[in-house]
Amino acid sequence: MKGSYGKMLRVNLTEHKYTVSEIPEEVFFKFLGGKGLGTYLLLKNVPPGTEPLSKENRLIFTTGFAAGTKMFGSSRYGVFTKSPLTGLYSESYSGGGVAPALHATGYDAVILEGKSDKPVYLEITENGAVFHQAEHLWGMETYQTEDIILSELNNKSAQVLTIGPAGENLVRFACIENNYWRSAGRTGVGAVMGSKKVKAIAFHGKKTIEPADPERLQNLMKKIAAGAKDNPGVKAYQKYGTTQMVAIMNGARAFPNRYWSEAYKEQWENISGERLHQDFQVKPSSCPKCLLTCGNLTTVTKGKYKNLTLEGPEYETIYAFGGLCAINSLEEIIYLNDLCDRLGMDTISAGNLIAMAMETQQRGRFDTGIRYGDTEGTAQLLQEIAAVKNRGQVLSQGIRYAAKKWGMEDAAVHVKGLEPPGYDPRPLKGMGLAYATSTRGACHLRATFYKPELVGIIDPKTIQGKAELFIDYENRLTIFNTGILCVFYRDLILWEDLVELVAVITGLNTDKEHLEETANRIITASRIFNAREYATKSEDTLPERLFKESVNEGNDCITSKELNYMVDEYYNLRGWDENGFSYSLKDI
Amino acid sequence: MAIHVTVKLYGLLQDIMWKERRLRVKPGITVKEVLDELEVAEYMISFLTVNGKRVSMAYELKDNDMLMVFPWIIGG
Repeated sequence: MKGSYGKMLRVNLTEHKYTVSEIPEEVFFKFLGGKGLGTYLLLKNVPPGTEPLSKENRLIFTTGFAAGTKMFGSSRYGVFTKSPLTGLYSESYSGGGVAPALHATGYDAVILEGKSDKPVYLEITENGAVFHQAEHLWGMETYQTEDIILSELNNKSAQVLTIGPAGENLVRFACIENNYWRSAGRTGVGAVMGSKKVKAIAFHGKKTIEPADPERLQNLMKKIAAGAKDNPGVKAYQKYGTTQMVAIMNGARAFPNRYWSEAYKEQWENISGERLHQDFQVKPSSCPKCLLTCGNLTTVTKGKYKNLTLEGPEYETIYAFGGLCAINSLEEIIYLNDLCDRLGMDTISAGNLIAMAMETQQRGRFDTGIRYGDTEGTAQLLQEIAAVKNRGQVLSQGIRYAAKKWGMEDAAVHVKGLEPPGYDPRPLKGMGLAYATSTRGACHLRATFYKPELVGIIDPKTIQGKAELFIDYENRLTIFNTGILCVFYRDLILWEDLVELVAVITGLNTDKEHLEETANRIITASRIFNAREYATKSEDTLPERLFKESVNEGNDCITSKELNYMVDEYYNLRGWDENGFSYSLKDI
Repeated sequence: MAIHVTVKLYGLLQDIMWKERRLRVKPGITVKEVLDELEVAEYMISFLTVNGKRVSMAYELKDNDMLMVFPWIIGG
């Protein structure tokens, strides 16, 4: 099968050695690449009961079948491991410039095993792995780390991913950063990297793969570009990026606010994408090979944080700090965003945890010393979390631990230990299904189902039949993640073009049904990983609080009966039994 | 007797057209009729609200209604 090298690099951090091994073609036929390959390798290499921060856990990096091509949106890599936050299946993706460099080294996957005695950074090339000592970098923030490594290597084509102090200190939701502001954000992949004492990884190489049919690929790309040309959704992305969602989610009354007690923020216009463009200098910024240019390179032009520049803030960061923590100004959100990026922490988890600390104070459950809207207090708390000091000793362990410590288990909002992104499932019930069934915990990216619910493709309040449409989206986006294609292309590449894309790159004789089967296999595999860790149907749910409390003056609520109906329909359509188990291990 | 409604546009609609207008219109005018008059193309819109509640194009506007128009999205 084209679109892959059939090679994997295993890096043994305990002994500072590496080996190159073959990946049988059969694996690619069944799993394609990217998420498929990562999930397969995870099942094969991480036995049940493995401690996530022990040397027995693996940290797996993959690219997908589209990585070596010119295809739009293909500059993405995936990270797979057992999460130290949830104890379950972990997947995280990032854009920026790393994926092409990783692909150029000639490996479809790089697996980190064991644990180094002393801090190292890896240089991965066609010749394997070089172990560089990294004591001079340990403790350093992410931007500076990238700069220093790039200057040490002095190679124009090198790209670097790194952890910050949060990852080094094993903060359970620490992330991996690249190109300063791009993150493999969720489920604590940065902590696993830190536990292995790997500060950063640099990639460079010259290997390439030809697509099976370059001419047909080019024609397909022309077709997609033509479809994007006058598409208003594309133009919106190019200008506003994800910040357009602040207006939309508040307009739809589904914007989680004040730690999930409300679904609307009165002063949302102060933190909107429209306001960003009005009050800040914003330039469009893009991953390599992308026409959506969704990045906002933002500079603060006046006030306390004048000259602060970053790519962002993304919608999720605005919801987490502006909504949940009730911080009312964009410049303060940008300041906190920058801090999270430097320290190497997921903004969704950080914002949720800090908002929970604010709610804890408000309810008088524990004196956390922080109130809603306190920017400096939030900054202080972020530093404490990254350093695992004071209140950070509690919060750095993640939401389940912190909620238990502070008597907030009835109020904490998470699924399987992962906090939700900025889409309230009480008005958007399909998002409830998404959060409950996602194997990594509450996640919107498996299907990005808020889109069809918001624009009326399906009624957000509908329960019957919802799982069927959800599965259609989830299958299609799972194939995207085998590519690894940016999901922001989901409205530009529907099934017909996706089938063509897979065919012209890999040479596979494929059709929609085959790809749906492949997606189902991959999702089932990720579920088997969780089942082996004793995750059961009881975790495919939402927190009690979201069933008990309605929003929007009682107009929007979701009941456990409604959720269970959708989940049962979902299990059934995926071919699992009534407990959500599948026994098709022979496929793996 | 004429009524007054406020129309607010968001996202790209703001850039192509304007942010906010207060209009004098005939009573019972529908959202669709107002948008047609303002030349806001239907394909540009993902959903609409009046006074914070989602409405369809057939909704009949009343005096002092606030109509918010949200543009087509591809996600975030």
